[in-house]
Amino acid sequence: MSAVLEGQRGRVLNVNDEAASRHSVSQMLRTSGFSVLEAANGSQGLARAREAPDAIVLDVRLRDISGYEVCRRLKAAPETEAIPVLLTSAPHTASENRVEGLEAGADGYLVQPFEASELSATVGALLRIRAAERDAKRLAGDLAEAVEIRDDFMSIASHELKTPLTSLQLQLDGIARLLRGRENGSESALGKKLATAIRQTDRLSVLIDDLLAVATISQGRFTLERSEADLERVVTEIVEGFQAEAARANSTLTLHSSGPVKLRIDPLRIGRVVQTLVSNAIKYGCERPVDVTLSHAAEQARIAVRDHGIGIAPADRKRIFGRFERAVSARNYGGLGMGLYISHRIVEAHGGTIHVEPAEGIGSLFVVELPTR
Amino acid sequence: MNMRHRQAHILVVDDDRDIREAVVEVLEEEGYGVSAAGDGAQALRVLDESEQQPDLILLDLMMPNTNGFEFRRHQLANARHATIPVAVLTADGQAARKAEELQANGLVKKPVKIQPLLDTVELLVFGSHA
Repeated sequence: MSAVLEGQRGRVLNVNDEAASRHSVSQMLRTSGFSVLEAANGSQGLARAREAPDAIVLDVRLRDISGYEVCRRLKAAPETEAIPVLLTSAPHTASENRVEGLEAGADGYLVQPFEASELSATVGALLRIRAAERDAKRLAGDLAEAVEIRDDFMSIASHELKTPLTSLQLQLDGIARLLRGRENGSESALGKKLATAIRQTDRLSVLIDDLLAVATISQGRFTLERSEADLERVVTEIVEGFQAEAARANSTLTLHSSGPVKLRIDPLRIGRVVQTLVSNAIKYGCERPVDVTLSHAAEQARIAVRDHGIGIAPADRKRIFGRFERAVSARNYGGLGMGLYISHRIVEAHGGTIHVEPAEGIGSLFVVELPTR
Repeated sequence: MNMRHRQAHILVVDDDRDIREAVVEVLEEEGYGVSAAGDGAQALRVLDESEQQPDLILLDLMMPNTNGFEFRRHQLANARHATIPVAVLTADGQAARKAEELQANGLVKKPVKIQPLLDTVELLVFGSHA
């Protein structure tokens, strides 16, 4: 065995009220490369544990406070709970006593007599476990911090992006109004280019909102702004807003509604859900018709969006509601993969559900159900 | 131009010059009387110096020197100014919560388009759309 310097492997507190036995254990620890603190009874042991040893070797047969109780108190106190405790006891100790020791929070148990090498190896193993735990804790802390920094950054970035976007939208909107005043409704080349520019800034605006939504969801700060609203009106506005895009995609977009549905919802957020579903239906709809159906019963309102496009494989039907998940290759279809994730969280926050139903024939059928109470 | 807008006066408070000027221009085109300020302190001076109190204040929150929160505190502490309605004009992600904290009368979320902006202003000034 190679020589190890005393103290090189750490500092161990040795608690034992039998002097001879205590000396023998301390000697074994020193020759194994540990420096040793000693305590001659349980209360002394509890006091010296505050000197932050790397491990504690604790005899269970203490006369003032039992070793099990000392162990329980060490594990209950925040400043000592992380120190590994190795209990030692008399020969022929029954297994239920060893179990009691481990249940008191001890990290290991040795029955006398034991060799120096066995004690050394056991304390060494406990220190390795403790070091691994510390590393894991530190990594988890670093990770949590990194996530927090990312989310803070996304909040700030979306705020900063909105300022120039506000200016840009007001300018474009102002130009559109001037142009409308002069052209008496005729659609000029300039008007068409302007409409495209406005549409693109609208897209940018949605993307920024999505970034912010993901950040607030991740920070647990996502809250709804509920008010009395007519779901039919919310859905109608979104569907009307997508008519031009559907036409550009050589598709038709039709709303089937059974009438007004008064609900206490966050109308902007529910609008965002419908927008996501309709936008996806057009995008993945292979130029075929898209149907939006709004219906309601006593307990719930239902929005169904049906397309006849590429469809979604059964294996992907749950996964697509995860963050940044997509069922298609990013090379073929743009987008950040946030829409369904955010929609899922919005619907969940309303106490509703969103899912994909197996569609008859080709395409997909997305269904949102919202409670009406 | 809407005739009844002529009697109404709006104070626009925003540190971003482009946004401020665009909003002022839109409101003026609609026939409103408009004054503007680049931060909360300037806005308080405008309130102190003008004889006619505005009918509405459009208030940005994040501004240098005196921000929207500080402006609102000073405004509410001054009996002459406290009753002027305020609509918060902000890009803040927690806009609704902050507007509530400020006891604002209305909220305009940035980015905003002209028509919704005008609708909100009209609602707060006249209590209804034209």
